[in-house]
Amino acid sequence: MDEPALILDAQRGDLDAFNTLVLAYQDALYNTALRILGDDSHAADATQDAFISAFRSLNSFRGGSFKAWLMRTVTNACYDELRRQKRRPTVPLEPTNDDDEEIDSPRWLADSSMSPEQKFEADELEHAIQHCLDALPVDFRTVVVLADIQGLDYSEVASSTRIPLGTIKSRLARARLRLRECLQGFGELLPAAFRLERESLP
Amino acid sequence: MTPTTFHDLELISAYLDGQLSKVESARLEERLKTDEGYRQLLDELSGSRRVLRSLPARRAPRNFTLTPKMAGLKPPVPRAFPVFRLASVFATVLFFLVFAANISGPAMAAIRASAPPIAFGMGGGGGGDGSEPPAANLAPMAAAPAPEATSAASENQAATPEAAPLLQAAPTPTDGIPFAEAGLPTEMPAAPGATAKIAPGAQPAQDQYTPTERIPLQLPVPAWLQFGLLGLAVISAATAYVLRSRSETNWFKTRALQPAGPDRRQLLVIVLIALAALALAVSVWWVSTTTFYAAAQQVPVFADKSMRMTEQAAQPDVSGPVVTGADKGAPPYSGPQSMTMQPGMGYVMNWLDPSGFMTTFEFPANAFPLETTFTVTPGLDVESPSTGMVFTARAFKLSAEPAGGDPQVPFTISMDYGDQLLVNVEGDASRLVLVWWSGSEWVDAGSTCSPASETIRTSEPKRLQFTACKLGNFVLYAP
Repeated sequence: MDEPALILDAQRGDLDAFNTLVLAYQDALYNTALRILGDDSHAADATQDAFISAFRSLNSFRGGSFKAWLMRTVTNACYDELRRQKRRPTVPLEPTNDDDEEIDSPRWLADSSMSPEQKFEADELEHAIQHCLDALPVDFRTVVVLADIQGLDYSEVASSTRIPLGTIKSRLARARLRLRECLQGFGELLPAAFRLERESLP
Repeated sequence: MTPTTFHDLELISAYLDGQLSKVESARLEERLKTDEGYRQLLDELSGSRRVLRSLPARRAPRNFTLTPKMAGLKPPVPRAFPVFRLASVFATVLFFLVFAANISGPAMAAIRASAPPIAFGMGGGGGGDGSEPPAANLAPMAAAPAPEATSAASENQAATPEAAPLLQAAPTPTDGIPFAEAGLPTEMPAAPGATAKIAPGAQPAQDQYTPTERIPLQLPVPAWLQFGLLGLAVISAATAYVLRSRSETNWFKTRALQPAGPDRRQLLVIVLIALAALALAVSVWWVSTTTFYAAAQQVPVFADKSMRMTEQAAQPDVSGPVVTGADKGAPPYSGPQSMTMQPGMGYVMNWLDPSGFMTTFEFPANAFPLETTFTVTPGLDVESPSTGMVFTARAFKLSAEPAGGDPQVPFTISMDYGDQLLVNVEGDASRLVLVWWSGSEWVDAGSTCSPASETIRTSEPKRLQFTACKLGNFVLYAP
């Protein structure tokens, strides 16, 4: 796939060229949206919205990582989706602290607030991870999804989220720590290697 | 072991991602060797990262490729499209303005014209009628039955010339109102074939005769302009539509895309264009086959000076010459009758001659180059033919004012006749000829034209049709 040529054609209004790019990136965008939103159908909506807005604003792409640029459109679409959900709140999955503020102590996650029923539902690793991702503030979640799940480097994450590099670093570190705390509650589900490593520690 | 800070956390996290400089990395690695807490933190963060990376990548539940509609793509509009669209809009607006002007003008004229006949009692219905235009035209002729409307009735009642039943065929004044308001007053085709003539089989008027003068309709804007505008609107709209749909088809074809089906707006446009085209076709056909006349004005003209009424006097206050059905049985009035002709229009005048039968004069358009008053007067100025059978009741003199000259094109004289006349010539209608006084002798009326015209004789109805080219003295004659 000659990506630069396809992008150039798409920028000239060639929808077929753009759709080739869509097919190449739709899994990545969908997974990003899925991990940020934690819901299949919302993720699909956000992905579609992301591609539509990507096509319309394609001329604003001035080189660099196209994937990072696409990730920005999908994170924006996810934020829009989350704003919509906030306007029409459904049953909250997770109780949030009253101030909805960033709490520095990792201990706030000690209480994972999972009912036994929820734990039963999250008896698969994927569910557990998603549960822990959902428990993160959305800005942290976005950074960790882009960096650790999509494998973007810091600068790409920074350009995708328009967050300064330093903030990316800090948020990623905290998010990883919080996820670690959260995932400890699902010790049985964690991969053997992960557990062994833990156990190997004194 | 020193307590770890968030700065340490960030350093370890960045180290994990290889984002530290060599110096920073070396320093951190040194510390990792000694600091248990650091090592634990590194393990936890890398474990967390590993778990996240172990998340299975899900396949997209469907393809998120964009359709042209989703992409907001629209085929380019052809450059000429707005021009044609604008032309169509302008032509449509102008058409409706012209239409309104043409409607309101003649409608007012029709209302004015329909007022006077009310004074004539039975003749009042002549103001206008839409459903049966020829009948409306004949309506004032009371006992003379409308030929088309009551052809069956005529056969049954020919022997009993009762005015009342025949009158039922004539429209009532109220019938005419909607049509008059619609701006399409009494009309009568000018084409000879389409001209309504008095059915000779029916009894001629016994009780009342009100000659009819039809005033050609003067439209404020010519009809051809009106329908030209409609045609322009239709053609430009259709052109705009074709241009656009062709460019859309090409656009989709070059992109190998499925064109979206015709949307509702497109269908509406097609239907509107089709309707306008239909209206245009009907209008053109109608205009081309029809001559419009203003509401008929009933102007009875009688030989008796006291009963005579001029055209100018034909106002509502003139009620003297009204002849009502009560006069049934009285001999028909017959006297000079005139009509004023404008160039460019065809005219028909029905004249009840002293015999009680109808004689019809029909002039094609431009028979006279100027406005001319055509008059028929019963009787002759000269001695009638000295031999053969002369039907003096069927003698008349034709004249024209002010030109006085002969018509420039042949005109038609149609004479209805009855059984009695036929008996006189022993049933041989071919013996009947119309002769014209040349100044020195009586000659066949047909010979006034070059080449000489033939006489058309029909037996049902009993009618002789002559074509003449001169004015002067005419008499029906059987050698």
